[in-house]
Amino acid sequence: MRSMRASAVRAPSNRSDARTASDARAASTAAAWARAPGQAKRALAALTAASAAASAAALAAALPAALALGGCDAPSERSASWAYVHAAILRPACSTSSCHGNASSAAGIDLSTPSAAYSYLLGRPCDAPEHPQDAAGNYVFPFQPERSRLLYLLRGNRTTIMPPDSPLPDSEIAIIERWILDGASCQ
Amino acid sequence: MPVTRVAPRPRPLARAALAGLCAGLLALIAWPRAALAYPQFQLTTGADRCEACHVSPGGGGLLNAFGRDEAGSTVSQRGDGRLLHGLWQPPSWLELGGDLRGALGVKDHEDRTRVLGFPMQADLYTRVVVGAWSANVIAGLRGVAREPRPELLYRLASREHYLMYQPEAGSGLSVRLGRFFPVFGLRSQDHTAYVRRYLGQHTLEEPYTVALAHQGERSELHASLFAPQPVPILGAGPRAWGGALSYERRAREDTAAWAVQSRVAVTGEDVRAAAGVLGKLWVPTSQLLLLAELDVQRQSFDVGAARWQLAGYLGATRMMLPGWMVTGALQLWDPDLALRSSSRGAAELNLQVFPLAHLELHLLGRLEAVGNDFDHPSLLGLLQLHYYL
Repeated sequence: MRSMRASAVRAPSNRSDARTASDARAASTAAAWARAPGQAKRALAALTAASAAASAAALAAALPAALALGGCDAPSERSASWAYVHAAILRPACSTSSCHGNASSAAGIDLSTPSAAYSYLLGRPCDAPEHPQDAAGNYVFPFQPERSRLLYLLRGNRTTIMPPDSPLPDSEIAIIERWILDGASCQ
Repeated sequence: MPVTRVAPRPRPLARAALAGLCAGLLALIAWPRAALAYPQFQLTTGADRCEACHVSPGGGGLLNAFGRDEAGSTVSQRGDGRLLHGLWQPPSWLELGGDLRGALGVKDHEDRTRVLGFPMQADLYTRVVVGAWSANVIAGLRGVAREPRPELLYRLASREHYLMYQPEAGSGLSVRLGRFFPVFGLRSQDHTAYVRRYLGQHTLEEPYTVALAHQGERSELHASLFAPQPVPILGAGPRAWGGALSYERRAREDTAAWAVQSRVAVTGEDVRAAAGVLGKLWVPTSQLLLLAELDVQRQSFDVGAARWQLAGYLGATRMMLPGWMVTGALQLWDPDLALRSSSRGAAELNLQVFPLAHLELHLLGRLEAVGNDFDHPSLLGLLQLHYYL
């Protein structure tokens, strides 16, 4: 292993011209370390080892605990407003660079902003007045989750699942379903 | 050409293949090898910080001369790591580089298997140096994993372009202004890592940033303020204003480090405030590097609601150099800690092979469970071919 200390004390090699200023700092660091009292070294080493071990242990404990326990709130306890649905679920999950972000707009669908997403999903802008003779929504039929293509896509029900690389958990789909059931308002 | 198709139910075969892959990688991890250095990771060799091998103080992108030297002579089994394998060297005021990646993959989920093949990355790096100033640009084509693919013109993108001022070599100070990610987190090259993807560092989500960095003997501090892209088509992700702070401290003869970090991002829809810790530990006797990151984020919405989120990464990398590296990792993302069954978790194994300088083969196997549904995990197998200029 070519350690930093080793590199600081070795004779210059034919690669030394490639070394950068950071190497000089590394050598300085090594020299400073070499000058430090042994007790300080041991204390610092112990402190860092303890820090690293503690963070690793905390994370190792947190991962399975969070996976196993999770929360206890039901989806019905979350806001089913469009502002929440977009910012909490659709934007982070769907509006990525290669999918439905502004730059790529896969399949011609841009879900990056609340107004754009609403227009694409319902087939009319947020502030457009509803009209009884309006054509049916693109992906969402207000009050009719069973007719809303968005839910079939999110569940992969008889179609390609969306998002294809990281499908949504059922709890988040349930919030979207409740938004549709409540009328899919943009307010 | 990218190929995406859906085939019904070859699931047992895919599972058997993945099981074989996992068993193979586990065997590689357990297989003892002679101790060898590997400079790609901070702490595992004399490269105690990202800047030792990269031009950027935050790491990633263009390699400096020392980084190229190490990548060629230490990481790879043979070859010359310099630009164009040493055939031509640009003048001292110009630095060039690039990354090309293609991927082939299999995704198996809910009785469906998809085969993917796509160009993942095609970026060229340019750096022009005039005194203490430098202009740095990464420009290329953004990857598209699925059909329909946009025309080439619409795939042009510049992930990073910034001016950097470094007042004095060795002073440890630098100031950057332009487009790049604020320093935050482990900064893995894997943009799908939860601690990247869900904490504002997904593909093309680089904001416009002004950042101050100070590299001390055993510490580094990065302070950043950022603003959204002026033209939305330049990138992706929420159009956020905010700031980030990261402080890292190294110790134990530069074989261990811890860091604390925070980030606030404000959009017209929400405010996300994150705080986290990092731990890194290099164990030379077993040639293992342990990496851990844990971040807690509070997302509050304009509608008045708020939720707490958790992102975590725990990984162990076995260095078997020159030429081989194996990483096992656990990941967690919970978008709403109080909401039942909303988290996702992943376990993955990565085998990275560097047979020649400039060339990397990366095999990834990942099991992912969404919403605590461990009975129906999705399986991903991905082979990447990576060439750097």
